[in-house]
Amino acid sequence: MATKVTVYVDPDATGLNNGTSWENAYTSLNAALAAEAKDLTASDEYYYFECRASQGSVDNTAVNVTSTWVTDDTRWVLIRTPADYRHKGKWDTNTYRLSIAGTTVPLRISTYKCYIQYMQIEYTGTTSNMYCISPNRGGSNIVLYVQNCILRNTGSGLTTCGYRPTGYGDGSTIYFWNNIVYGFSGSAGHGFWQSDSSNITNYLYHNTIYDCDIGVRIAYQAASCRIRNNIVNNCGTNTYLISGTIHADSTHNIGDNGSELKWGATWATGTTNGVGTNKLIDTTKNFSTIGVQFGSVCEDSVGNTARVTGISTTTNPNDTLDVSADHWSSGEAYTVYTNMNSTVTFKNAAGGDFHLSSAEDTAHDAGFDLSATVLNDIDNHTRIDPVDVGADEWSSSSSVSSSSSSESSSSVSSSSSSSLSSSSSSSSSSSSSSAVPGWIIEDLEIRDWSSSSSSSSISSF
Amino acid sequence: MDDYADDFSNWSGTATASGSGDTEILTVLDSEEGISNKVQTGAKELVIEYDYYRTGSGTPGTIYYKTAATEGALDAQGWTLYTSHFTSLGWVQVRVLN
Repeated sequence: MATKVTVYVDPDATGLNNGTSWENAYTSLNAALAAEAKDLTASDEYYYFECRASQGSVDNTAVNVTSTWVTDDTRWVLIRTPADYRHKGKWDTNTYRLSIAGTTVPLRISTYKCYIQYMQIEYTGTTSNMYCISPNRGGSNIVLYVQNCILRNTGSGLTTCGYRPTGYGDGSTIYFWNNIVYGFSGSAGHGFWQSDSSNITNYLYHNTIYDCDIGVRIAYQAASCRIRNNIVNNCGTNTYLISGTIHADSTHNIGDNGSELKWGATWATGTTNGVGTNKLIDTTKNFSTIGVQFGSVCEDSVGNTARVTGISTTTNPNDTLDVSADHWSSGEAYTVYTNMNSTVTFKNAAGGDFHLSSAEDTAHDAGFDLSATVLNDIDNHTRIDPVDVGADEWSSSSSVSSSSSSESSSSVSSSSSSSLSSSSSSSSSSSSSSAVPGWIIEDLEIRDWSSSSSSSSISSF
Repeated sequence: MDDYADDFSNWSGTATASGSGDTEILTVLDSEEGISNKVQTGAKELVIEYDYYRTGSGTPGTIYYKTAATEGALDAQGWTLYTSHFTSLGWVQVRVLN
């Protein structure tokens, strides 16, 4: 059984600089990684690098998780800011942050398996081709988790990226969940750029990407890329730029350019059999039952798009989509995508606060249910089905106002399915603070069911 | 007799392990979680029980599990809400959430 080793990092620490405690923490993450690097498969260990900034100082040394770290599926490196010191879903200058202005990529990862969690990473300089997180392992595969991080650019370099690999291997898997990525707005700046042709599986779930030249770009291996429940808004050249056919499990993404959302799973395809101004009529369908949502992107036979603004009835219940543009005549092909076109209302995007506003009416409760996989949001609030799209699960406890009358998302049908219904229960959509001291577990057992009444314990903790 | 025994201190996540040996506990505060190590159980029907030997406290949260045929395949699996017995494919990981 591998042994857990914890190493402490605090730029404000004044102790022995050996990582054995907060008092004696290393003063830079890179120094910690360099000093501790080893073959974890030989030592049979896995490492937690716990990062904080007790006095708010930045860590401004670029980090390289080098190949000296030999890792495997069970003996890996995890880098995070622990619970008591994390950001709260918005860039926080009082907590740990890796802030790089020079000519070295802020965080390069050259080991097999690594977790990056609840970190704040930024590039502030003028150098081009700087990527906040960049796997670089040449011909060997990599398993990388980037979760609940804030990646941003405040510099002026070109082709800066929140995430871009500079060397993968076939068989790599990237889990990019619950991140907020913004400010990569210089020419060819990307929020997330899958730019390597190796055989890679990407899971992009529940990210909020804002103010980039290109939000999400999948240049290779689209068939192995799952993109779900992301928000990409306010980008320059492209919101989503997908080359090839994306994996069929790509659904429920929001962008603010309808023509760039014509990919991924669809709610419906067919041919209209009626006509009306700003209507898409197919009397063979019940669009509410199908699951069509407020904001869903509709495409006509020549590639024009419109967004769903409501569901109404022409002949049969819910057989008509009210749409934002008048593209459909009778007998014309159409496709309704699960992706949604919307300019999302954040609490204060200009101020870097990408929590959903209570007034937001598309992203609330509109996501594909990944709550059993992505349990929490950027703030560590619990995801509850129907989940919100993007990094934040809107919570009344984090909202300025808890007025229920203003919190409901718009319903597009009075007889809507759950995916279309107003979020009348949204005030409970996230766990709230509680006076309950917690759930204390004394022991936990995995037991053989067939003999659970006996002492047949397979595992005990 | 346990085929496999480990300490809560080796769990990952935001929950806090304290104590040691027979008095070790895992405290899962509001919105916190704890994730067990990966356990090779063999392919069989399993139950998850807590506070089997001693009495815990607080309001019980939620238990999730994931299972796969190999240890390496667990990471790609989603968490399933544990409600009653389930079929292990060979390897199991448990997550508790408050």
